Amino acid sequence: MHSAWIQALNSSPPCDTFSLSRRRSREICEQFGDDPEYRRFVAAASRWQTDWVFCESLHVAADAVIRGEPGHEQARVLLAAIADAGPTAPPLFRGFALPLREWEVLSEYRVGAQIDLALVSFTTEFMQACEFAWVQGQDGGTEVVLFLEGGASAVRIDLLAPDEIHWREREWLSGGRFVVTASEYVSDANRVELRISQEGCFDGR
Amino acid sequence: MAAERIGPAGYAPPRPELRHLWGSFAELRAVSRARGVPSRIARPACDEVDLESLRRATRAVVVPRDLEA
Repeated sequence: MHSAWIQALNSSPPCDTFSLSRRRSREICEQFGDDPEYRRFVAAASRWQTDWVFCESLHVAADAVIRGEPGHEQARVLLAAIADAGPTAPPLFRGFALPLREWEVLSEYRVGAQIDLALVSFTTEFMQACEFAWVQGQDGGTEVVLFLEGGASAVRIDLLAPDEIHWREREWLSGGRFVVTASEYVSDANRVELRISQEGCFDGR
Repeated sequence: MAAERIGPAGYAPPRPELRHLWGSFAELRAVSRARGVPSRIARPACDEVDLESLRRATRAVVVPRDLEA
């Protein structure tokens, strides 16, 4: 059964401005603010959005939780929320650069390849993903943009963003086992585009 | 179709040295800041400043009485 607060986050209407987003966030907080599960998720998501040093330890902790070890409570909270979200996410995108040549990316991430990611950020904005790819690619490597097919289990966290910079990234949190369903080198844009689908979520409980 | 729950068998996360590439936006942002790459990601455009927050912040400024005159 999906938590009502996850449904509230994921089904919220698009917010064209940060102030509208804050207003919607306050409404959700008024409705679910007394729910300790919601409060724990907000605290963990906030660190995920803002504390990149802590994110490193979250990865390690999430690995431990998935393998049945104690891990860290906030990793458990995030993994559980992703698994509870159900197949509600719209098509999502992610951009970055890999320290490989384009043909190596295509070879390593060919159709059918599996990618295990305990916790990973996506965005609803294709151009945002392209910008992340461009920024990452400035230091070499191949720009890669992932297209996550709609219907993945993920939680919309842009409404929880602490400021406009984070809100503009239109971030969704997901994780699980992903499978490459299509791959292509787009020569005009000089990037590799990988279409992926979510095969399942890791059970963190 | 609902995503299935997967157990730990066969779990193969990215190599540690590449983990930040497959993680949070905060980690990606940190890398771009460290490289000094100018980007919209690091600076919001001026035309998208949240005016409501700006007004609220402006009202919050307290002017000491001895400076009001």
